[in-house]
Amino acid sequence: MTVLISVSKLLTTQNASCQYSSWGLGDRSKLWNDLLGEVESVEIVRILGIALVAVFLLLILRQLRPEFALLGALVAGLLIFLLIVDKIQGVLGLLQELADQAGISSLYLHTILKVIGIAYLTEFASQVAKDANEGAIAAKVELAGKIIIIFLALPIIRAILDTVVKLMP
Amino acid sequence: MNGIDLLFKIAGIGIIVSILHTVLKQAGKEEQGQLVTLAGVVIVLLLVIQLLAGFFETVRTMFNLY
Repeated sequence: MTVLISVSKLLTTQNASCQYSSWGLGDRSKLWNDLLGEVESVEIVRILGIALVAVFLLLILRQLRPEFALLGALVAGLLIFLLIVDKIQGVLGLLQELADQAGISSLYLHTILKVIGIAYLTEFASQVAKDANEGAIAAKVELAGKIIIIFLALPIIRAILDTVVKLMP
Repeated sequence: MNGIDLLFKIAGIGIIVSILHTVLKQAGKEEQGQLVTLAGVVIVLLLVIQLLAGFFETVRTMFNLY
């Protein structure tokens, strides 16, 4: 709502309307992009559209052929992920920047990123397995993910233990 | 939109395969019906597998998983 108010304010002010109207009719979308680009509400509308279309399609398909419904759910998840990839990259870039400025060793940040990636992939696979009513395989996949995450965290745990041992008299 | 097309394709193939399965079952050809279902799954899997590979590749490069 606040976005709409700001849009109407921008449209009514002389300066902005001059600026945008001189660019012709097709530039109203540019105005919208300028205003909504920071809020990203357009992106969420697209994601919701894909999700709702997928839900209704799969609702019909699950009664007819459950195996196709499984693949459809997989594709819907992938599509939604592909829409948010560049946002995730922005967040990761900010994290990298902060870590560089704070002087944190890249070993730690890369380990954390790897853990997040493995957690995401594991979650994805286990959800697909659960959708197919294969709860046992989903549990095994989650177990494997946890073990690999602990394995990745070993250098950090070792570093903490070394520090503690050094601190002790 | 390349992506949502894939979803509609999968739904279409699923509905067609389901209809073929029903028709073949009514005609008393159960085995062909199973084969049609198998072929449909394979076709959809071929469509999905590229997207899945791209997804894995993206996650791997994004989170520095080698």
